[in-house]
Amino acid sequence: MTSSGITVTPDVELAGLAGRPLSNRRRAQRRFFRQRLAVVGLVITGGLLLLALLAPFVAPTSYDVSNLAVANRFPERAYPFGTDAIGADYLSRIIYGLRTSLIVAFTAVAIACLIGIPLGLVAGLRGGAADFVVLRLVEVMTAFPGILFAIFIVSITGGGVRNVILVIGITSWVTLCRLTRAQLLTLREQEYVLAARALGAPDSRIAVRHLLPNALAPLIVAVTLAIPTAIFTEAGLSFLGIGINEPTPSLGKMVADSAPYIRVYWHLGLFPTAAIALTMLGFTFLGDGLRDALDPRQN
Amino acid sequence: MSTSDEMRRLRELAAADDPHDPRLGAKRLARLEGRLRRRSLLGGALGVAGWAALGGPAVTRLAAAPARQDADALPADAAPAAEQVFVLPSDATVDKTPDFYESVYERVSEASSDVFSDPLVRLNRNFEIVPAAALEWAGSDDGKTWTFQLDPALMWNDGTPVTAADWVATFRYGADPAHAWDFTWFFQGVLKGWDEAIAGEIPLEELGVRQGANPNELIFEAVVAAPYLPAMLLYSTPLSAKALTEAGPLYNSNPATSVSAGPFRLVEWTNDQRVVYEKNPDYTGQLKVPVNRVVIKLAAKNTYFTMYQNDEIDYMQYPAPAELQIAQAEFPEQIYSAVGDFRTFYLFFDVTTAPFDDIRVRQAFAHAVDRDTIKTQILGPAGVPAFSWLAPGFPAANGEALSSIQGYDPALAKQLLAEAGFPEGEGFPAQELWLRNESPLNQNVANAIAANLRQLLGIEIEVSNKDQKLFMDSLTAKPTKIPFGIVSYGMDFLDPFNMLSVWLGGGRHSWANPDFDAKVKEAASFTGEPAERTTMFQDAERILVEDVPAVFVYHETPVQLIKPWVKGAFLEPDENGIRALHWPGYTAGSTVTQELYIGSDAPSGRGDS
Repeated sequence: MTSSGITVTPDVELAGLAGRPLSNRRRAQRRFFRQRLAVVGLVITGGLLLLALLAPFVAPTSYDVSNLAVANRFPERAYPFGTDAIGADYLSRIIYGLRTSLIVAFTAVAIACLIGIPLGLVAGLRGGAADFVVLRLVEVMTAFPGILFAIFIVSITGGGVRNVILVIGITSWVTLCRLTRAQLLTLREQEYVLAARALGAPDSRIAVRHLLPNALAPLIVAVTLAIPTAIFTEAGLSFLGIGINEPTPSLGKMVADSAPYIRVYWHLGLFPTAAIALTMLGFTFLGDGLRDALDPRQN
Repeated sequence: MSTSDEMRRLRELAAADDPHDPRLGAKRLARLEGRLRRRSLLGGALGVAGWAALGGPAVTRLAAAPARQDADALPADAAPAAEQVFVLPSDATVDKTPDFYESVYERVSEASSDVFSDPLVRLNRNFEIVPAAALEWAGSDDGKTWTFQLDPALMWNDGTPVTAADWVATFRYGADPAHAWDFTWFFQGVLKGWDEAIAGEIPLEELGVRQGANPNELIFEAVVAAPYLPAMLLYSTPLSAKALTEAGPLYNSNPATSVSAGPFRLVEWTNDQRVVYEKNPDYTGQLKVPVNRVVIKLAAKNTYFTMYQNDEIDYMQYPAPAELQIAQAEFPEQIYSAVGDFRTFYLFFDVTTAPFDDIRVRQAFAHAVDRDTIKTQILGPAGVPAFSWLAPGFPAANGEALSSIQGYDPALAKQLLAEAGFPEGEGFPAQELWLRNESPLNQNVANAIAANLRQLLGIEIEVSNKDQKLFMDSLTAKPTKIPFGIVSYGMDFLDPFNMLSVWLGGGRHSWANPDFDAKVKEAASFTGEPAERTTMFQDAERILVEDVPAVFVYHETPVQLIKPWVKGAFLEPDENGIRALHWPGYTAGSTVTQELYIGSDAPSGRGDS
């Protein structure tokens, strides 16, 4: 690995050779910041996160303030993004909508990771009975269309942000689980795993220290793509009337709600769509950059 | 319809009275007088003129039978007969049958069905019940037995006469448990034997619909005094007993087996594409229909507006909000507000639990809803503010007298809420406002109301648009699972009893008021003076409005787009000021069919492809 690295990126390796060997983290950081798109992704994502976090200070009004007398205004000085059908400032709705969507997406994906990755690790590493049980569980989940399962759960628990997060979390762990398991199936046959075993390392250590870092690249991509997917799932649930309720805005719901108006009130569709697109673009760039940076096979 | 036409019709009604049955004739006249008086009260010049022309009870009798359908009566600005083509859209996913008694909710075309036979009665453009297949009718003194004298001239175009046997067969088919008709509830608790028959407990032969003294006399028996039964029988387009036996209930979905005694006959039925009717040359009923051909284009609902813009259809209903905006900008003169089924949208409360068990809370909500701004900013031509239950134009409607009870008064609303123990909304539990799978328009209305209540009264309200089944199951659960919601109700038949019965105790809402129940039930079966009956219903409605189990928000006036070349008296203001294709649409159940014609300015070749 090191020898091939010298031919491809001599400066890095030379620097490494000249002084203290670079830590994995430093190397990853360098690789990351050398990619322009990854930096753009980081800036976009960071900007959106900041906007969402500071919504109460940034937004012109609160999300639940409206004035019917100024309904359906096109963008103008007082309302840079226009107003919606009941006269709420659309810019404020979008900032708060971004906040809702990001909260839902991050938390839901975190839940999915917490369920999916450990299950995948156990199945992939242990095999046998554990693998059998996990795979059957995965098949049960796959047999249900995700949205149907989500509807089922929400109709029992009721809507609202918290339940939507839980529902998206427990319906979207399957991909992560299968991916982790598939990665482990190839990785566990590698010599270094054999070496670790020979040295008496317990399964948990092998999984976390040796296998997971090597399986990380595709997982990171999957997680980054799971975030926009979660935003869309939330939009779908809200669209079906079992998701997030008015007056809490969410980007997906704003797009869905704008559909009947889009031929006239273009701003109602354009701005939330652009916000979703920007979010998605940011996360995709960031994910790609992270994959390239973190992949220990790239050096 | 012109005044002279109206007069002719009234005379025909009188002329049709059986001279051998003075009791029947007297009743008929009393009803006529009642109608004319009501009209005079409404201030209609027609009413006064009509009464004068009739000269009191001395009625001129016309010897001749009603004039039959002929083609040479087209107005001067009408297109030639070959171009009298009316083109309508219809939902391509709903094209099972054109017949009410086969399926109400899977009938082709929401705008034009039930044209292959005449119902017993039909509506004119003022929503009055006028004779159709039945030339006259009378109820027994207890109001439980209703006898209809059928027009002996009516013929199916297979040469069979239309007789009571056709209605008997049709109603038995409707009650047949094997058929599982989707509208059986309509006659429940009204027709004798109906409930038992649909449950399969008695043979269909025991149903209270039978032939009278001769094949042209049809008798309905009710389990209660039902002065509203003739109004209900707007929905009585019969199936042909013969075709029903020989070709099965879907005989009208295929031109080869279709049989018509109505103004049109079926000439084409192409699933997913189109259904075509042509004027029935053998029709012997009373409708004189100018249109020669009705083309129903089967398409996806969201394509109607584009079709309309491209002149592919002449008419459509319910444009989406943005489509309406386009129409308002480009062809405002083609926008009409109908009354549809006199639908009223309202907020409702579970009055049995806190905080809505306190009338002051309900009153505060009622005074906090700014209906006028909702009308101007959201509804536009699609609705009018409502402050009471019965929509303008509906029998016994009393909107003006009741309008102040729930009127918009922000200061009073805040004061009432404070008196109820929630000053500025402090301590008021957060609410979820349930919606029944509403359209974008109604979601906007609901969101605006929620914003109204939030900003004015300081009450946290989430708006949640629910699945229809979930909503209805939760609403009708005992006890109800919806503390606070918005929903609508549209009439099934033109009688105050129908609309008011929604609020009877034990119905779909938890509000129960014995005083209201007693008044409505008493008025429902009251067979005396119609004006007195109206007053009884109005008293009941006042209780409903004053006790605020509901905050009335708006009466729907469905938006129709009608091409300028579609002409006729139905587009002139009726007694209620309505200019539109009236309920129940272009069917044998409405006299609008004989008013509507295609002008000479229509592009030719419409409906060909």
